[in-house]
Amino acid sequence: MEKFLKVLDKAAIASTDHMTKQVRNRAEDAGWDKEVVQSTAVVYDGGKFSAKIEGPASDKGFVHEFGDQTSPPTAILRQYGNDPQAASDAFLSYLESEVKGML
Amino acid sequence: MTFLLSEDKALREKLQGMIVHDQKAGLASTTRQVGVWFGQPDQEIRDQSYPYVTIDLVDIQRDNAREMRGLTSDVYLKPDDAPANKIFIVDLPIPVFLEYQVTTYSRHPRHDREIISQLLGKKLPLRAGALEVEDKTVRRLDTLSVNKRDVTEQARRLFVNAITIRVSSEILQNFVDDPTNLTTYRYTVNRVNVSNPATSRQGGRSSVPDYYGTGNFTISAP
Repeated sequence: MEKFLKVLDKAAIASTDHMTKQVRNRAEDAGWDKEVVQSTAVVYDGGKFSAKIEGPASDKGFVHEFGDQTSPPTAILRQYGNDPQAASDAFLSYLESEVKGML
Repeated sequence: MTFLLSEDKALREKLQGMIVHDQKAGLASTTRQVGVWFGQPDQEIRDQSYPYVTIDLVDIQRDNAREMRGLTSDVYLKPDDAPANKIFIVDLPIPVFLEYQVTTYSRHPRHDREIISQLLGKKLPLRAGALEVEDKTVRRLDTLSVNKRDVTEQARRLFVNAITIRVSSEILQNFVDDPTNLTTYRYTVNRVNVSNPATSRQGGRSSVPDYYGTGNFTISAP
């Protein structure tokens, strides 16, 4: 069981790269600044996936995500969070390659 | 029910009515209404009327957990153009959730706190929230997140809160039957007569003494 949980964690961490690409593509399509797009990432921590904007671009990222007095919100991160299919496809394909031969 | 327009209207009405207080030393406090807008109001209006709240629709997602197939004639789904006193039948609507962002803007920290207090205390509670819509349905309203972001613009502080909420809704699909023609399907069996069959109608089993074949049926409209 412990071994299987380790494999789950490994697959989850491996799939974050793919999820990061997905969320960055969406952000780029929505017109986010390049700097903000590059600072956006999906991370796996404590058994949960979350999309984050880290570093100095986080202020601009907040404005893109939630809007301000002159621009409407784009809600890219929240929309991605509402679309589990996009993330689960990536996770399952990594998991499948990891568990091959274990069961 | 008009999808989206009904929810927008209900949400705006729910958020309206908030009041904040201006407190000045030695004077009685005066009150201000908190305006509610869809999107951003014009710059001129905004400058004159802080604090205010904006509503933005940020996502629409199909809610598979509530999905069902079949037909229904629930009253709240009755089309506006359906004739009175006639039944209608529709496909079960497609359940969706609507995600809104409610953003508050204020210039004074006290106004900011008063708005947060009223929103999370009454209007958008963290649990058991509800939205009453004009079609007499009560929708589920979940407060998903509260993000605080205070900024300084042109040397003036601006207190901003972005609250994400989720409202349950449904999208009505096909009308199965034209309500104007439904009377043709509304016949019910009023009376069924089975007369004593003649020998010639006994299906060739006249030699079986206990057999009675089917006789004439009469089905009439009520």
